[in-house]
Amino acid sequence: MNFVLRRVALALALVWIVATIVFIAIHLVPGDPAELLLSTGGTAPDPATVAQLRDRLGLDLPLSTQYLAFLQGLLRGDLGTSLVDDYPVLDEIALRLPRTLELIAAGTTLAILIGVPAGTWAALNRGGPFDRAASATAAFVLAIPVFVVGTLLILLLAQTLRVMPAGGYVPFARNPGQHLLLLTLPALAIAKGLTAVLFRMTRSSVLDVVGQDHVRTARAKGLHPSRVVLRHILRNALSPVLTVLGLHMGALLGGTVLVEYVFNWPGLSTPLLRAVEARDYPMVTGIILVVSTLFLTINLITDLLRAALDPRIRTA
Amino acid sequence: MVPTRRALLGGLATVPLLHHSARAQARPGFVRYGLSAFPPNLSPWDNTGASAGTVKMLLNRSLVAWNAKGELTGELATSWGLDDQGAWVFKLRQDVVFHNGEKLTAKDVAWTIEQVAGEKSTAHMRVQFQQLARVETPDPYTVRLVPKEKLATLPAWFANYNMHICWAGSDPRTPIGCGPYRLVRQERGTSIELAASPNYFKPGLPKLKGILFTAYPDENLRIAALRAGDLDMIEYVPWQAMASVETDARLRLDEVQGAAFMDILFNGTRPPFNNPLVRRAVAHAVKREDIVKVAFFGRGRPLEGVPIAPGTPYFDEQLSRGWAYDPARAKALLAEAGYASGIQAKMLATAQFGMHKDSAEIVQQYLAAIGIQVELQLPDWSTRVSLGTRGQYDLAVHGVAADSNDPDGLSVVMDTSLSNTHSRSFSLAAPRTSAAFAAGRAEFDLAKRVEIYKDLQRAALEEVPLVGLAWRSQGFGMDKRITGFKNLPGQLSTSSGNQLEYTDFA
Amino acid sequence: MKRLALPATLVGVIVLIALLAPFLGLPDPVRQDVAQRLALPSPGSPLGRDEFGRDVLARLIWGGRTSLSVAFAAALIACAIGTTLGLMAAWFRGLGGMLALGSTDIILCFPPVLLALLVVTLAGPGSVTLVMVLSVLFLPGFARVTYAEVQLVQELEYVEAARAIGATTPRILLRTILPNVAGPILVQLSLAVAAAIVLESGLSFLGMGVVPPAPSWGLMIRGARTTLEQAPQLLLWPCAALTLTIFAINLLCDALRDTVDPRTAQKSR
Repeated sequence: MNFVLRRVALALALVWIVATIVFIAIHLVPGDPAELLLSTGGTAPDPATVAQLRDRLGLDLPLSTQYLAFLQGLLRGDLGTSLVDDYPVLDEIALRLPRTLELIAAGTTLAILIGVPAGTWAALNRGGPFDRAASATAAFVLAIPVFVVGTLLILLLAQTLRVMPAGGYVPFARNPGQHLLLLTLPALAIAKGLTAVLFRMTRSSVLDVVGQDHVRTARAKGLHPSRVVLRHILRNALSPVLTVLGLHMGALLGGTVLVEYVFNWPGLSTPLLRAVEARDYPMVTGIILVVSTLFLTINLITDLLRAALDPRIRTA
Repeated sequence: MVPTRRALLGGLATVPLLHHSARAQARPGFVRYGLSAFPPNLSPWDNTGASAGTVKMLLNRSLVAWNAKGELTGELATSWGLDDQGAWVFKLRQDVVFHNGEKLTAKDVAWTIEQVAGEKSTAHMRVQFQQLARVETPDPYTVRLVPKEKLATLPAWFANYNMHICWAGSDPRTPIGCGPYRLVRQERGTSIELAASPNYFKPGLPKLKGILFTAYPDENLRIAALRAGDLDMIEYVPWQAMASVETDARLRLDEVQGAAFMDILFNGTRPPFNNPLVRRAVAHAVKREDIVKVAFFGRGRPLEGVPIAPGTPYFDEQLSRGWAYDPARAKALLAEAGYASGIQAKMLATAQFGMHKDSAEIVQQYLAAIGIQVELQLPDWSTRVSLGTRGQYDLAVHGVAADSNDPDGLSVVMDTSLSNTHSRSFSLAAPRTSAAFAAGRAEFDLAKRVEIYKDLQRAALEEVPLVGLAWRSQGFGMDKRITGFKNLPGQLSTSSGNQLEYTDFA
Repeated sequence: MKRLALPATLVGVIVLIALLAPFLGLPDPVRQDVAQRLALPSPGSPLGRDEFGRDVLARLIWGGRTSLSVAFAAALIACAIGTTLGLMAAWFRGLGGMLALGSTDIILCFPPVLLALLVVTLAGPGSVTLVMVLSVLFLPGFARVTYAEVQLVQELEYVEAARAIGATTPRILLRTILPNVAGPILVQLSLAVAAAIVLESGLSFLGMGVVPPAPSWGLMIRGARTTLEQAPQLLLWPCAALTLTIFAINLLCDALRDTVDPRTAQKSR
């Protein structure tokens, strides 16, 4: 119990630190949101007009006052409204986060279903034809940038063969078939890198465990090979794999930017990128805060899962 | 086994067909339009970009608008003219109804101008309308605008896509317009759906039942979506794709030349570019054809003078070549300015837009050839705007469109006596150019205006408040069945959104 | 040892070509010749010319020099700092350990592209900024993997044995524990170098990496994407170079791992 409490306290402290860092950093970055909004499309606003907008948006208040107001809002669960159109930050997140999570979930599921069994099989048959072929494929897949894969998939499937839409989004409730169809390409693009990473990690981890004494003992006892693999090898080998998976899922939360961009998937990354470009301070801080909180939650779950799988960590 | 296999093959074969029918699910009477950027907001008076302007021109109407030939035509105004005291008088239509059912009167126009020119206003046309001494409404359908000084160009202000007439009773934060379409729903950052307004004042318009706008910020995906049939129409066809849209049997390209241009801006507060000789050296140093080829795939024209549109009375063939590529002359000018040994400088542009980056790379190479070694600074667009407004650069590459095809539209890019912004040279002294702009604004006679603006070109060629690089074209791509849409000529191209009220499916 | 030969040669050749770029008699990689724009391969330029008419082979090799040095520098810095942090955190535990590991967690809370965006807008784009961003991004990975591995290893008999014979802490850490956790760290290193090369291309693709006209593989891909219809071969070369390089690095690290790691080495006998 103590272990869990300590981790939760640490996570909360981290959330506050992240919020503060982002708040300060985004205000330090050059660029004035009022000027940028009125300069959209390259036109030049009059300085007096910009000054009026700064005044209306409260951008001329001292940074410390703005920071305190931000913290007070945070305590009330209020992340503020966008500087661009006064839209509540929380509403924007509530609408878009589920879509990003759906994309990540679909991509991760694909990656686990392919990466872990392939990695185990490759390790158990180390140096065999499957190991060589799969290792080579993993290295190859890892090497192609996501935006190139996206461009080529669209070029091939949407423009040349015309079997897929070029990207976009339809709510599941409106048209389930079309929704899943539109999910396919971005999910594949997300799964691409993660599958290769999971494959490599599983392979190396299983190799580690296979050499350990208790596995040899189990084998020597004449246990059924599948039982050895499941009970003795995978159980122990999955711990580092989980760590890596947790790390990468966290990274995916913000790393879907390129995929969402290339496939026009309206998740959380696009508004985040747009908000950074427009220096929409409340939107940037709010979205990162929610993303990092989620990340910390994933981390926490990973740690607790690892502890459950591997008793040595619980005692540590 | 055979039937199963056949069933399986049959099933596979139907998959593409199934997707095809799923894609061709466009609602009849609706156009699916791909925007290049999602409108930050739809305020009828604040500038939030050309994509927002397209949507705003459909939700609202103004006194006048640009028509397909690029001339001003009446919208809410039936006629307008100067009275003998130098005031502009607009006569209004009497059959206009706002979206809430209220009738349009002169009071609404006066209220709108009050909002735009107000002390706390953030409207794009604020500075212009603050030049009015007063607004009078002698009767419900007449508006009299009395300027502080003579103003030849006032009517065109109402054709700007950030100047719309709204109902006087509206909440100023959500003004009610009288455009051909109404807002049905929007998803922030993704899509906007408009439906035809049932009480629009032009009979038989709009022709469509509605328009579904979807933002496709990535140009490659925007064009891919048009080709795949996900969209019926897109704005800003990327130049590299124009040729293939033209040859596509299903698609049509509506392209206009001279929609905008690239230029070089200078920092006038520090040497060496505060010296007009050095700026002229820069102007003669760059071979413009390379920029047209690389940045615009040939879809543009070299710009070797002041950006006055060819075909207008103000254009002069010889003056338009005043900064022709001539490296020997550039070197001589540099030597005359005392910089024969060369110059080191920093050139600002942005990596966010390919045309800015490509133009900057080419300018860099040609400047090096005459002894000006520039280091490129390519931050994101926001930082570039910030550095530009604060004058934290030596010279900068920029892309811009004037407000209209009238030479006065160029004052926003060339009149350096105006406040400092990222799209004008920083605190640069070009007094003769600025004086010519002021003279042109106060002159009503066409022949005299032509002379004034030719003088302006001569002055600018020597004072070099900017260096023109290349005109670029702008194109809309659409399904061949779409009718009634016309890309407006020259720098009005960004205002073509108002044509969507005539647009229909054949 | 035999397994090392092939991948080591491959990586060696790639690194050597990048190192020797100035002595290969290549044309100037930034020299434009717009008349030759998108030209197909010719005797003077075996891979043709790019959208500015620059020699593609020269840009590929000089770009490799940029991409490789950025990736290696970033991965090695991240590895050194991250491993030290992880080692300390696991060995000393307590509040200090928690804080050391926790501070790397802060980095992980940021979406990588956003962290890059913030740092690049603050510091300005360029190779130095890239190394900074990438090493910061990979640091937590090393710290966490090391931490997890050390936790597993330090309870094992040989560590107990080293303690029992009175070995000093640095000696135990460096001589006993580090070699035993080196395998997973090496795997992490191979992943980091590979990922750094891919990320560099991604950031340069977004315009946040190497500043033009200096060549880099990411910039070449970005440029080739716009001319995909006119000259698809331009996308092929940088992608092929990326793929081959990462493939070689991965092979090398796998082989290294099998050779260095005492546990798997034992097993493979």
